[in-house]
Amino acid sequence: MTARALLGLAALDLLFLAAGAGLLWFLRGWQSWVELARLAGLAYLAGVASVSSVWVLLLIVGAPFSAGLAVAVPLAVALLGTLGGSVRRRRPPALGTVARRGLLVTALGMAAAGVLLEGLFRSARLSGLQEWDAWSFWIPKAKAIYFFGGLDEQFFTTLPGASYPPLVPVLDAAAFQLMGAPDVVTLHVQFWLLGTGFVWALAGLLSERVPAWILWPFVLLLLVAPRLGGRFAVPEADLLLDYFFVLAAVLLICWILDRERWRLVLGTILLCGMVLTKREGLLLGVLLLAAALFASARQQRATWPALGASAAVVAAVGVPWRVWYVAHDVGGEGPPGGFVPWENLEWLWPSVRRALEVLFDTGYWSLIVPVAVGALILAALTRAADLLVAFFGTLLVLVALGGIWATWAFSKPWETGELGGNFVIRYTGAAALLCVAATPLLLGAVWQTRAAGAGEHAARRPLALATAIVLVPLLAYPLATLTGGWPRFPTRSECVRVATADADDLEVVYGHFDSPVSAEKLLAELTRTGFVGTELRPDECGRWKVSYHAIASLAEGRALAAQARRAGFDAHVGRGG
Amino acid sequence: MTGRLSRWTELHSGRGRLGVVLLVAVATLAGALSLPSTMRDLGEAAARNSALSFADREIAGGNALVADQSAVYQARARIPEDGTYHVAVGPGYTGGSELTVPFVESYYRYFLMPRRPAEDAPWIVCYGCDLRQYGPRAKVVWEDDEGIAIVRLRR
Repeated sequence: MTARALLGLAALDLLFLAAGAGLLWFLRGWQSWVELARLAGLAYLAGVASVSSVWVLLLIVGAPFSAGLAVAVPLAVALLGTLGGSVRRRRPPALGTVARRGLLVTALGMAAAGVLLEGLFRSARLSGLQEWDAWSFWIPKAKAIYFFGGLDEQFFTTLPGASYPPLVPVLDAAAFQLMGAPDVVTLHVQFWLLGTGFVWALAGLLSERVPAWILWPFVLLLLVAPRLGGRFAVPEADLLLDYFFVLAAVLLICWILDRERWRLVLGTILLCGMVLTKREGLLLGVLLLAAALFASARQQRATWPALGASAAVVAAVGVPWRVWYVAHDVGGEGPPGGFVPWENLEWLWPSVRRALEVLFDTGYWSLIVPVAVGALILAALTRAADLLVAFFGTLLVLVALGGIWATWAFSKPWETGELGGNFVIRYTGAAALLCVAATPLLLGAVWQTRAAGAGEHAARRPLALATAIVLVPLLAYPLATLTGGWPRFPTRSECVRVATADADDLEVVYGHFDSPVSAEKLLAELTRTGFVGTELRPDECGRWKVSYHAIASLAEGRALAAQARRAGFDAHVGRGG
Repeated sequence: MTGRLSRWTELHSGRGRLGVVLLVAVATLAGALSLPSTMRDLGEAAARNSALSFADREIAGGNALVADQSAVYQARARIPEDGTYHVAVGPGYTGGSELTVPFVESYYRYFLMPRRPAEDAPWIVCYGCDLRQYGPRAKVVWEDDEGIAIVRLRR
């Protein structure tokens, strides 16, 4: 909740960005700073996936997690990427130019998305930890890593979701280290940053192939969808998994289309992040690779060995966690009744209905899914993008089938009273987010217009106008909200209430302490000096308060406080006794 | 076959573009219509979060479970960080909400970390439990009107 915590998070996320930018420098180089700015979101999330995966693997082999390790790993990834780029003789990026086509539409889209993201930040910054799964096991696991320096056996084997991979807890623990405390309120900002990075990454990647007027409406639709943008700041693993999944899907299909190898490598890194984030990551990863194999079947000699290598790397990264939990007698990630629960056959058809109802529920995803289905049909009819249709069509169908299977196999309606419960909604977020990426690509291909070419440079006037379009609302919104007062940074000291009039709950307060030892020391000194009757008790903010309660009036309290100050103690008359 | 397909494609490329415009228009409308209400909701959420007291914000999800905020603060203030504790809920406890009995122990596990839960712990966070079961070793160090007590067991 403090400015220091926000600065700590900023430092951590700059480290992620540096790590990802270093990786991309090694894999593809940076032609220009403009290109780097466009792909900064992708670099950031690649940094999150790679660094967090390394942290997880280090924890599994028993490395103690500390602030030093939290900083050293992203620095090492950034340094290795930079050195690797130098070995490959990458040229320093030029300044670059901004493309003119679609510039004003891009500026409008960025302004609208930026204001929405600012609104999300405002609501996230002082949000309490309300989410059930967050306080039930995600944050306890993170606190266990933070306090005990590793995968503490007691907590990691007994908390709910014990078999869930620990990428998000280790990411949270790193945030706690850099914030200087397990500040679960400010942690919401970390998840907001992940969401912002995803929007940036998606827009940056798709803008290579999609005209701005087709791209930005879908970015906005993503931000206003209640279960997508509306949950950006929720400190759970669902959306991070979906970000990795969707970006990996876009990178893989782009690799199939243009064979730029860096896309496959980066997609593989994101797939590694997926299998270490949630158990559904395994399923989604397999489905993604299956769709890539199917869509590239005609070029199988060129693509299948590379996809096989990618799968092998992902498996190698995913296995150690599975070995760890099996070695610690934790139940597996599979469904309790087996992978094909024949004994629950009567739930199969209701599961189909439930999964499809959730997929097409506009209350969760706005119109994202119906529009995506329309785009798929349109692209299939016009035969404008057979590969895209094959890939996204297959993947969407497979993810939907996965949702049906998971609803059928994991449901415990006798416990929850509802088939699929919350699980099917969480899982379906991956399909909805995939639709956000797929629709502009499909529609862009049908439109058959190249996105803004690198050779088309912006004239100075449109560039200045576009800059104004972006900056004015982005500055105006926070300024407008500041009319209600400066941002607050609440601390425990808000439980210190100085009395200004007579009341029933007056007390003379000598101090508030986090440590009971310090409080007891003061109490002993006060008693020794003659201030008998002083007590020690927790205040309403969870700190120890040294105070005297038998105060009849404000005047009496002020007299006692003055006497205590003359004796060398801090004292004031407060309320709350 | 290929020629027929090509004619079909040409015939439909114009309609395809019309379809693109239609779908983008639908997405734009859906986004634009939701934008004001989304911003309003976000502003209200920000105001609500900002207005929370420190305790309401810190306890957050636990407010529906713990029955009395003082209880979790008392437990955190009294149980040493390297100590162990046990949350005991009496069968007849009727305070709090319907979520209290099944889930209050989970919440304490989250809130009191790095303190560890343990069956044989010297600290008991007692929700309507029968203190007599702990015998003369039990010393109540804090209790409230909701039937919640913090008990220290002497060795």
